[in-house]
Amino acid sequence: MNAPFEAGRGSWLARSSDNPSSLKVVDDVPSDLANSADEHGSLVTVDPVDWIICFVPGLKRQWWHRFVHHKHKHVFAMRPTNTGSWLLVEPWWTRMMVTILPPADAVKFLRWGGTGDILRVRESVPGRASQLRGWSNCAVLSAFLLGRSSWAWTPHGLYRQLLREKSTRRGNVKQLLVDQFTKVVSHHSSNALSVSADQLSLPLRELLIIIGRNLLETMMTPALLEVCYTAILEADRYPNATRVYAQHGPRRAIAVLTKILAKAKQAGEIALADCEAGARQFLGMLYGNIHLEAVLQLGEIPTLSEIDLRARAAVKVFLDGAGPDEAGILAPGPLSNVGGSLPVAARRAWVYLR
Amino acid sequence: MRRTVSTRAVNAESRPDVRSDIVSAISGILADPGDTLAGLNSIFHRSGYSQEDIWSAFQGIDDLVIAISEHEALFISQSLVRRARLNTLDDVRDTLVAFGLVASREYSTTLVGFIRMMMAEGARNPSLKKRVYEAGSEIVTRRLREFLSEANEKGILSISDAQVCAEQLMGLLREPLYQALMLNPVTSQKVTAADRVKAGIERFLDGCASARSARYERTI
Repeated sequence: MNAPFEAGRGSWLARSSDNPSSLKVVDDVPSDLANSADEHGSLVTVDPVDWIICFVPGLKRQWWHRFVHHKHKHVFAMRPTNTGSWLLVEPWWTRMMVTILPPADAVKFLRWGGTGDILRVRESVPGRASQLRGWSNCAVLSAFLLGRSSWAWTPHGLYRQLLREKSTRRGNVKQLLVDQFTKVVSHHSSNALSVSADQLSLPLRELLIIIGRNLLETMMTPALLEVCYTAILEADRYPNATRVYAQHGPRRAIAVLTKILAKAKQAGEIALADCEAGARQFLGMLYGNIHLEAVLQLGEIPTLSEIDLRARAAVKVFLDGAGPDEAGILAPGPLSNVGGSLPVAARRAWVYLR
Repeated sequence: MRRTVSTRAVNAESRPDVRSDIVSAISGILADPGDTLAGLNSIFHRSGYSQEDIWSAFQGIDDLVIAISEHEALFISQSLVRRARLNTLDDVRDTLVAFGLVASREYSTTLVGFIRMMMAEGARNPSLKKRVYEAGSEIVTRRLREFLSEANEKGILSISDAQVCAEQLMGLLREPLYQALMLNPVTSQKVTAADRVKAGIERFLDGCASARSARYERTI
C-alpha cells in the first residue's frame, strides 16, 4: 500500500495531489526523496505507454475452461523495449511473472497471443483501478496493470471492455515484429554507419577500417545478435520481419559501403568492376566466422581490440589481397589516432551516409 | 526401436555403410530449399529410412547430427585435401575456386536447413550446437588455414595470420547462406554463383587497391 496512490474520484484513500510539498513526510524517508515525489506520489514521472494485451486459449486443459470464452481463457501483457527484448507481465495462479524476454522467446508468447486476440492498449496514469477490487485473477490483474477501473472477472469481459475504448487497436504478431525489428535494427545501423565529414575525406584504407570496426562492434551487440538469431529462426513463419532485419541491417551496410567504394573508384584508389559486389565481399570478410559463432551463441563476444584487429585484417586483404608483395600495415600504430576507437554512443551528431 | 545404448553402439560400428547412406539421404533432404521448417520426424520419413533403421545405426540424435556435420565438412574441404600440387599462385587460385564452388553450393542448400535445424535443436541442447559446429565449420576452417599456411610457407601467399585469413575467406563464401537464411525467396543476383565465387577468390588473393593508391598509402 505504499505505492503511488490514486487521487481519483470517490476513492476514500485518495489524498490531495495538488501540492506535493504539502504531503506529510514520513520520518523514515529522506526528505529529498519525499520532496521529489510527483503529483501522483511517484518518485519518477513516466509517460503512459502502450501495452500489448494478449487474450489467449489455455496451453493445457483446465477444469474451469468450460466456464469461460473458448479463445479467451487467459490474459497477459507484453511491451517491446528499445533493445529488441520484451517485457512480459503474466499473472499466474501462484505469482506474478514479470520478466524480460529475448526476442526469440518473446515470439513464442506472441504466437500464443496470435491464437487468440491481441490488443494494443495505452495504460492509464495515474490510473483508476483500485487494490480493493480483490480476487487477483489474470483479468483483474491485467486491468490493474492498465490502470482501468473494471468489474470484469474474465479475460473475455476485459477484452470487451478494452475493445469499447476508442484508442484501443487490434494488433497482429507479424506487424509487431516488423515494427520492433525496424526500430532496433535501424537504430543500430544508423550508429554504425555514421562517419564524420572529416573522416569522409580520409584515405579509403583508413575510412574502411573505421567503418569496419564500427560495423563489427555493432554487429556484436547482444541486442542485434538476438534479433538476428530470431530473424533467422522465424524466417519462414514471419518473412517480413526477417526481411526488415536484412533491409535495415546488412543491406543498408552494403549500400553505404557501395557508395564509399564508388567514390574511391572514381578517385582512382581502387580497381573494382562492381562496387556493390565489392561491398558484399568486404562485409563477408568482416563477418568471418565470428558473426555466425556469435549468432549461434557459440563463443565469447570478441573484445574491442580483437574487433579492431579483425577490421584492419579485413581491410588489408580486401585492398591488398593475400597474395605476395604485402607491406606490413597491420600494426595499429599509425591509425590508432585517426578517428580513434569510436564509441557508438558518441557518433550521433555525425553525418550519416544515406 | 527402443534398444539399449550398448546395442546401438555395436550396430553403429558394424554398419558404417548404412550410417553413410543415411547421412547422405538426410543431407539430401536438408538441401531441399522448400522444406526448411520440416521437423526431424518429417526429415527422417522423407529420407526413405524408418526410424528403426536410423536408430539402429546411430546412438541418438546427437550422433546423427554430428555425423551429418562431419560428412559436410569432409565434402566441402575435399578439394583442399586432395589437391594435386601447390607451387604457384595459380595453383592456389584453382584450389580455392574449387573449394569455394563446393562451399558456396552447400551454403545455399544443405547447410541452410542444417543451420536452422541446429538452431532449433540447440535451444533444447546447447552443447550439441557447439559439438556440431566443432565437427563441421571448425574442421573446414582448420583445413583451409592449413592450406593457406602451407602456401604462405612456400612464399606463394604473404599472410600474417592464416587463421584470420581462413575465417575471412569463409565469411566471404558464406554470403549465400545469409541470403538463404534471411531472404525467402532469395533475391536474384546479376552474376552466377560460379562467377561470384571466382570474383571473391580474386579479391581475396589480389585485393582491389590500385597500384598507385597502394604505393601511396603504404608510405603514409
